[in-house]
Amino acid sequence: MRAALFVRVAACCAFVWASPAFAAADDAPVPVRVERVKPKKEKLPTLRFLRTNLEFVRGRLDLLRERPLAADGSARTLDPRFLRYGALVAAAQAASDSAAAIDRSVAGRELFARERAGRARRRARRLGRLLAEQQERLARLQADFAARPTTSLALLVSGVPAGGAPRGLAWVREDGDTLHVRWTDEELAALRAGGTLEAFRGLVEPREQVLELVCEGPGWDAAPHAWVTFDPERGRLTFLAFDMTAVTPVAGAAGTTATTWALPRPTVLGATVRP
Amino acid sequence: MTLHTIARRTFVPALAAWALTVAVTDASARREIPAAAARAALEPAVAAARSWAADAELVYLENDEPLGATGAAPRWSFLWYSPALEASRVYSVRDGRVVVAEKFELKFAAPPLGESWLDSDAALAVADERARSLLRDAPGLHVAHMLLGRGAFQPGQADLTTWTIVYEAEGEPSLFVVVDAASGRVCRTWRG
Repeated sequence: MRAALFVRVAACCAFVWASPAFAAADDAPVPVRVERVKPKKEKLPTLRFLRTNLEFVRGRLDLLRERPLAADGSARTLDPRFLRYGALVAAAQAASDSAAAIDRSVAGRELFARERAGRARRRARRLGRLLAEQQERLARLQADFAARPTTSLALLVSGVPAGGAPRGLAWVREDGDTLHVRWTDEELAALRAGGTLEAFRGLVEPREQVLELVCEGPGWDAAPHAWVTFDPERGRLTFLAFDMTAVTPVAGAAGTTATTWALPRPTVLGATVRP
Repeated sequence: MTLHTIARRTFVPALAAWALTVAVTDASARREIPAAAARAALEPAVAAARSWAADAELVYLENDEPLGATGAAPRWSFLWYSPALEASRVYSVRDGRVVVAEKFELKFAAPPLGESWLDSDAALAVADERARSLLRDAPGLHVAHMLLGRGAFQPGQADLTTWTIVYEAEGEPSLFVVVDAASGRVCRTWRG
């Protein structure tokens, strides 16, 4: 009776554990599906009002721009009194400067008397200001580099097919930007020896996106392309690794196997940083 | 106890438990997308824009899907401009995720939005009062669009970031209500 009950409970737990709701989520590498056909994406319209009324909105923005106006630049006869006015203004300014110099001389003598007493206090305050400015600079650096993690992607390549490797790989993003990577003989030798090549590391948008993979080189022009869909997490470095071991001119890039994983989030002063 | 009895008492409940779990998971995957005010959708767009261009500036935003009565929409679009790249890019955000990211090919050199602006729910509340007073009994009156921009909708005040709320009603020209996104004051209205 007890055995039957135990078996029943164990079977229930096994089925529940195997269900999708309880799939484990951790940072271990997970396989990425390499597809032979470009995945279809739902076409969602954006900025409908702006696209429909673009000319109207642009017209309103054009009113904000500076425009040079037509003006007549030809010379005209000057009234001679205007030339005398200039000399009068210069003389008034010179007199004002002399009065200011006298005033400064008197103030300077009074100041010297107080200077010695205040010198030490000023030096101390200046040192305090320098320290505060330095602290502010350090805080700004820390905020920029440690407290605001960026979303980035690293593309890795490994494996050399038995029949010979393509000369390089190309990755094409959704908007058409292409990254071409061609390995040198030394890099190819390193791949043959089991090494891994970092083809790219840079910032990437934290959203689901599709990357087209193309094998390049003599004899690979007709090789089929492949597509991978990945979703880099905000604020983390995501690795996308491609193993070319099973790639052939017939299978093309679809013979690649791909895996992905992410680095743990950076920490600042012992605390985990959230984006 | 026969094998049939053990199987019935063991596997039937296990199968039922598994089927229930799958049904719950499936139902949660098909849930309705929640609507959100514009600021709630901003953060994913900011993260994406900073990855595209370090100097990206937000120059315009608009609802992509119909608005609710409280100024919330399931999807918002954010248009960014990078002076260094001399290019614009759109990010459409739904349920906290960027679902569309594309180049904006049309030339649109607009000034960046101010740092602080009223959220869409607060702006709509202000605009609704004015709209109701102007279109009190209009049949089918609803908010069709909410746009946040700077300089384009308030002539003579290039520095003003404003919400423009477009109301539509059956058989009536659209009503535009422009709300100052800093003060929450209605700046102007017009029909067209």
